[in-house]
Amino acid sequence: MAKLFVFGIGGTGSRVIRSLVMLMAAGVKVQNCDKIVPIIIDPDTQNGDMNRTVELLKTYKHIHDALGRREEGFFHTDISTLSSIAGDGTAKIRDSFVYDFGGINKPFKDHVGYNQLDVESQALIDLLFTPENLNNSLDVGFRGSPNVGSVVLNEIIDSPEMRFFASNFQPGDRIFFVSSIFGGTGAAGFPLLLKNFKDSRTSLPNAASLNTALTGAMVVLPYFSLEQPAAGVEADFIDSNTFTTKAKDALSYYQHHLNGVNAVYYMGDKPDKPMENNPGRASQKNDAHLVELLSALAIVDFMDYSDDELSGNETFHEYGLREDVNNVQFSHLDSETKDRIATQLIRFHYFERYYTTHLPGDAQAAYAKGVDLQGALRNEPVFRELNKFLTNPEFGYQAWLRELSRKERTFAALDLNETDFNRMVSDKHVETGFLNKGISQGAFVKELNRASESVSDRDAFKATIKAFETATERLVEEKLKYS
Amino acid sequence: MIQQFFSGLYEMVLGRPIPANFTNDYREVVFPNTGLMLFIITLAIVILYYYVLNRVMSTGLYKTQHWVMFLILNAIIAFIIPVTQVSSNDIETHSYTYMFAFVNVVFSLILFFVFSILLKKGSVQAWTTPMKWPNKR
Repeated sequence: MAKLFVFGIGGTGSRVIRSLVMLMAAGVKVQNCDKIVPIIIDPDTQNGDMNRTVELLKTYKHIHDALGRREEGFFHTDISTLSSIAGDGTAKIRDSFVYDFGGINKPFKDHVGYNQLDVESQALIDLLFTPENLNNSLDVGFRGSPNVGSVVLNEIIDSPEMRFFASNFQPGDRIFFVSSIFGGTGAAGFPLLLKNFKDSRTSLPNAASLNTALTGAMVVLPYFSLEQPAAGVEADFIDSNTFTTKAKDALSYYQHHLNGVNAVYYMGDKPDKPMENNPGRASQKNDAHLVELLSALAIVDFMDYSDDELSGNETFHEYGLREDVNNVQFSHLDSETKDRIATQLIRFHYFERYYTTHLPGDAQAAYAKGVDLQGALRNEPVFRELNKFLTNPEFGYQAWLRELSRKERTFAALDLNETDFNRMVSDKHVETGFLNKGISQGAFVKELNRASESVSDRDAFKATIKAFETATERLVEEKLKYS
Repeated sequence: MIQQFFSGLYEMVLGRPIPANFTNDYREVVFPNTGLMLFIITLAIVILYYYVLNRVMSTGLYKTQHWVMFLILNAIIAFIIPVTQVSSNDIETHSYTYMFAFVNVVFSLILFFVFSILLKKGSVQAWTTPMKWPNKR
């Protein structure tokens, strides 16, 4: 029962985990582990990016739990909270996907006891931190200031959550960090956690297992910029002009001080049009970005390697598209990436489009009538969870895909506005003719009925998901002929 | 035996065939022919609906309204058979003829339903048409 602990640190960490959940929902396989345990670390408890990722994770978990343990298919990967890995209900920590900072709602100055320090120490603090650093409240995050983050985050190692994590860490489990290098929380949190996990003198339990654990990291380089206030305007903002400088400084630090990582992944992009500048709280809710989707694939890639392959020298990975294009389709991805995600995402997209558009009218179809799907849709809460996962305007699949298409460099492989199944996949249309309608609604329902024939499950939710898995597989193979 | 079965079946509802001089024609030719044709044609239409249109061809005609359409088609055929049987055997047309045709229609409805229940399980697209019962898969 090997586990993968994914530490999503800061806003970028949350957003990459959001994309990872979408890949898991589509059925992308994560090798060499039975369970993914995401731990989101962000002191900004109101952070919009984090909260919608948490809602998505909760919804995913409901759906996965209803479907039960499976080797493949939509939602088959087990994503659990940290507290649930104890399995016997003895965990004394909050059952959440988020690390509990316990409400640090005071300025950094008070957090370090600035006013109680002697003059020399205050002078040293003044040298290391700007007045803004000292006066900003910590409950909004570190606002792109890793020097603040490195102090505050160093304390979490002694928290009950970290001790619980370490106590339950077993040989064979792996660790993966996702963080940005140009912000505050991620840039500070990743090296700190790594240092503590890999320190042979660490105070954490299970130190030997932690020290030798196979560890990967996705370091996200600058890929967006933020709107800057006009000159002379007093505004609360993060200066995105410093992203590159901060990234260079951090890379230099990593080069000399980052020990114990088996595989490091780097990803970045030229920033396109600047995003709204929200330093934190609920308003920090950035659109999903292709870089985050590809960063989530680093986790899948890391898990593809066997223990032996990772145990050698540290490896470094970068990602490149086959062509520098603005509208990225599956054909622009490297064949390895395409093989990993294309058919899975197409199948999930077909499922989502059919489920939300046509399924309500299928009351009389055999696949629906056989399990009294209409009754189940009204009465079973898990169908409401599935609806939330697919259509919630904040965190659902539709919103995610729509956001991915709003940038200058868009993920345009799947067209959410296209109602014709034959034309939904941008780089492969189904050929139709007078007698061949391709993937019509009728063809879809036939495949669903055919698929339901081999489904022995009496549970409406399980049977419906299974029917869609089989039907979409056949449609992609036989009609779309995607390869 | 077939003669006796079908004669008994129709006469149980309709009574003795009239005009009386054609009673033997009804009993020996018309009832057995009509009964047999009803049985074979209904079976053929049910097989066509469940196995050809909704298994081999997957035409999308799986809804209850489609099943009702085939039920009605079978009923129309069931009405035509007795009328043509009577006229082709030079039997005088009588109100009894139309009562006979009407009873045949009722039999066709029952038979179509019974065959549907018995055979629908083997259909891929329409095994829940007109209802899921008695299949459970």
